[in-house]
Amino acid sequence: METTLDITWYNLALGYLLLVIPIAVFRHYSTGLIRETLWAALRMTVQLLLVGVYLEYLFRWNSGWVNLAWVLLMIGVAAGTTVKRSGLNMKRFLWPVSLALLVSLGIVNGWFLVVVLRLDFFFESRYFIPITGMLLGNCLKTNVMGLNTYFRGLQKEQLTYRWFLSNGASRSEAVVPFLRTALQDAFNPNIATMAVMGLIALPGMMTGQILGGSSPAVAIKYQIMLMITIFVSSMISVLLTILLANRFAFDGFDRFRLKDVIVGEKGRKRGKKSPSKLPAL
Amino acid sequence: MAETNLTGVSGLYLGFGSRVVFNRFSLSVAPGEKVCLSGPSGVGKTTLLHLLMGFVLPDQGEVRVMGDRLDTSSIRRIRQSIAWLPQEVSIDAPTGRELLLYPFRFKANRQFFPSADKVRAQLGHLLLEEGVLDQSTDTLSGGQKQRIALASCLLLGKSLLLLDEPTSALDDASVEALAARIDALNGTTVISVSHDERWLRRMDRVIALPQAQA
Repeated sequence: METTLDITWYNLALGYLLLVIPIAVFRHYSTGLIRETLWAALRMTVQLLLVGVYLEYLFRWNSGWVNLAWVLLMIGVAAGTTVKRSGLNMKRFLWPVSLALLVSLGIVNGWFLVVVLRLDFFFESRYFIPITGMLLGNCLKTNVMGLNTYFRGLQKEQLTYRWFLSNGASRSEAVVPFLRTALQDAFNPNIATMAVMGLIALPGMMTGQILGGSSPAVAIKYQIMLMITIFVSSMISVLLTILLANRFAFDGFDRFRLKDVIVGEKGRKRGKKSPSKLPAL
Repeated sequence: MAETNLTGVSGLYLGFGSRVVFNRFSLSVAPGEKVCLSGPSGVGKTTLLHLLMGFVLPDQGEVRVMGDRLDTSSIRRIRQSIAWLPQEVSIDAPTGRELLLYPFRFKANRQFFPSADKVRAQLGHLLLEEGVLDQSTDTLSGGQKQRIALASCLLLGKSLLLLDEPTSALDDASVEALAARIDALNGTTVISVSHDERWLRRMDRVIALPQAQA
């Protein structure tokens, strides 16, 4: 097995230079995204350096309790980020999103690690931590999209929702069109990605494994499994979050509790607009 | 509201911020009566329909629908005995047929699923050709859509019809046809909201709502 070429710190710095291109584009079009981009790149660097350090320890200890605690922490952070980015009420949504993530990861990880990979030790750091991380990252994206579409749909189309109720629908029937749209919006990108996988996109995990010295055949099998587990875990978490949230998103008259659900545009920053380049009058 | 099967409100107080929409307002509609709420814009006509459906709750007072006091235990039963035509509704129905039959997908309405003959007859009463059913909703005129939605409400056969501006997109002949159809509904209570003189004069009673107070 060939070892992967290391990247020196100097060469890594050269790689960062590529960021000059998007920054120049952002500047040209006054998008107001330069500061956020630089901040995100800095955060990513620091976070990944820290990940490198703690993964060393997690792999060395290979402790079930430590790994479980780590994943629970990751779930908490992912749930918080999902709620914040969806502009939903943190107090009300943190637990349903966390619970939905926990259940979906429990089912999908259990199936993959125990039934498919047949690991002797379920919490094996080398598999449990990175696979859970990849699933969580993808669940987060799908959840944000699904929750946003569902609750914003109910907010914008309240008359339609009321029309359903007042023409014989039960609450669970009245929310079906909104749930359908949320699933379509959340899963269309996943389906499209899955359909072109390998043709126009070489996925990250597979590329990483090949760079790490695995044979393409092994890397492909992992990638296939990962795509399926991502799809299923995202589906379970979106659906479960919405079903759990429905318990408090409506009052006793089945009215949508807008003020308790949506907190506005906080946490959904689009970037501050740069000052106009027009000369002062 | 002494009679047990009346629909209406009593001692209603409702305000939005500093604006008082209803102040000790009462109204009762007898079973089978056809009434129209009238008054200038903002007086609370549509709000009153929403109160009867439990989408707006009064600050004070009581709402009764066909004798049932509106609360969390009765709301589902009440809504299942209503058919409501809002001023505008945007549902995902690609054809006239799907627009007409949309409410019949709900479990509570499946037993009322209309036969082809009933649909044809109802469309005829409202001066609609059967061909509108196969037409894309994008190509239907506002008046055609409104009459299809009205036909749907009528086919549901509910005991209370709430119609919000039912004639806003209709020509004289269609208004006349709809009014005749409503007249023929024995035992069905109709509460409508309209500014349309053609419609007002066909109602049993026109109720002018009091002006909202700042």
